[in-house]
Amino acid sequence: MDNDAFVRSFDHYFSYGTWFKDFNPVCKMVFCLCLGFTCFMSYTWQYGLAMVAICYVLAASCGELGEFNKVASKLFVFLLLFMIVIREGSIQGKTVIFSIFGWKWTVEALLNGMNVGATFLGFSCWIVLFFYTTPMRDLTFCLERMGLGHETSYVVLASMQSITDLRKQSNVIMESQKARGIETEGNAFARMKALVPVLSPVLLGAMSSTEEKTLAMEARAFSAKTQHTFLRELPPAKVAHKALAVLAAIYLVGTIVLHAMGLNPIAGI
Amino acid sequence: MATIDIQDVSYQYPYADRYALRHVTYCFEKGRTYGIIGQNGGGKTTLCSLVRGLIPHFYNGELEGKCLIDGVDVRDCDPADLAVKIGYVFQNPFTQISGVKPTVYEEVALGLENLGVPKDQIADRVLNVCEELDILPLLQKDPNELSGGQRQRVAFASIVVMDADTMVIDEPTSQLDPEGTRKVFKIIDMLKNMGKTILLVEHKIDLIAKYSDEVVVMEDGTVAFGGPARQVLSNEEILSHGALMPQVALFGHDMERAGKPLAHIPITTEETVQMLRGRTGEE
Repeated sequence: MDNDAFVRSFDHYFSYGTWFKDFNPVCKMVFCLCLGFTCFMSYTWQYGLAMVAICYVLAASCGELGEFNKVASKLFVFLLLFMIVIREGSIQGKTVIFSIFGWKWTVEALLNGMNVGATFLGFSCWIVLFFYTTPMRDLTFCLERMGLGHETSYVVLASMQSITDLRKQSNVIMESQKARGIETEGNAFARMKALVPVLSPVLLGAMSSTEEKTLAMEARAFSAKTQHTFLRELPPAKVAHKALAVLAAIYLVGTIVLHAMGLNPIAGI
Repeated sequence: MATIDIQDVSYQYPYADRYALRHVTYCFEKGRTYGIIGQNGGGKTTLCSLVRGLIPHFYNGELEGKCLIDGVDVRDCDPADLAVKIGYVFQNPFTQISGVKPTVYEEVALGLENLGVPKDQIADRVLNVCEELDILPLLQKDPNELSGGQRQRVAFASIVVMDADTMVIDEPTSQLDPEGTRKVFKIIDMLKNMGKTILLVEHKIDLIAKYSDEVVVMEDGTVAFGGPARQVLSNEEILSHGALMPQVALFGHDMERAGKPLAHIPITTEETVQMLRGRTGEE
């Protein structure tokens, strides 16, 4: 895009071109959190995996399937499969499926593991989906419009970037420590030992650069009390976005109330 | 009237056991360029922090005396107002980028957003400054992926766009290569031609000699020397106060000692070449 077109693009509300990415960030956050929490009301593998499937569909609809799948597949292994193994090791069931060197795998433990694992997997997938389809700057923009302080917004955004900066800095420090003869490769113990001379310079460097960055931001009138201009704006939340968020919240509250009354409609699905 | 009038200022950082500034008195006039030189620990950066209002608003500590910014004591100045009046460019290009903006355009516009400047004015001002500082090709790039020299130019643009009358520039080329240094000093020359008041802390003495109207030598928290650049940089005494002289000035003194003095002690390469041409009758 040429520079003129790029600069003119800021004259209009920003759009990603897909409905889920253009979903108002605050409404989307409510939507995803509420649907994620309903997994805990159900606590069944069918409901959990159904939520995972919905997340996959939504990720695909906004072109984030590849990135979403990278994380979701790791979560699948860690949460679901790992939980099944743990439950098989800790719960004594009656119906044996098979036995490995005397370790009996039972249907009851399998179902229990699947229920727990899929519940957490379903919840986690909603969170991952939210973060992969919502840049933090969009969320903080909406929250600032709702009254969140400019400083808080900056802290959130700067923290995300500082993780990347710290990682780069720790690599540089690791190399410089290696040049001083500190062993940084080898077995787990050697690598743990190498962390000590790396951590303190990284932490001290982070504190020092935080002060410098504070001064640099002060030089840009960061603490000015005037009303801030937003160069890049998102459109106000549509009625449909608010409606979806409200419906998701009602659904969650409804499942909680019915669960408390012992009438949970999604349990045992 | 002096833009910045420092009257018998002494300052001690919190928990420090010595004063970083001791009885400093100096006037910085509007529209002039001041080179501030001296050894490390001499008080150069502290002086800049005082002028910019970081002392006492950011750094606490003991501040004695007065520093008047356009006639108002720095203690009574609003830090946000000072950001508009006095721009500050730091030496580390890597910590001057906010880290929260995905493009150089938005990074440069950040200060104007903070000041509430209308969007249409932001676009015009940012584009003009980026064109003057030759960073239009970087406009859509991620500031976090730029080289040190590019970041420093973006940092300059971010401050210049705020159109402060006074610029405090603290060792802007310390982490740059010669090409980056050349580009930064081109920007400083541009600011000088715009009539800005510039306080420039640098160790590259030949460049200080070329661009400064006056030079201040800081030593151990005091002003050891201060005055017109020619007067200060041609004076051999500054060597014993931890400051450097331009190579051509040392050459001029060597010529004097050899019994072949030049018309006067030069401080820039250009005037040395002129004098030598005149001497050899080339003109």
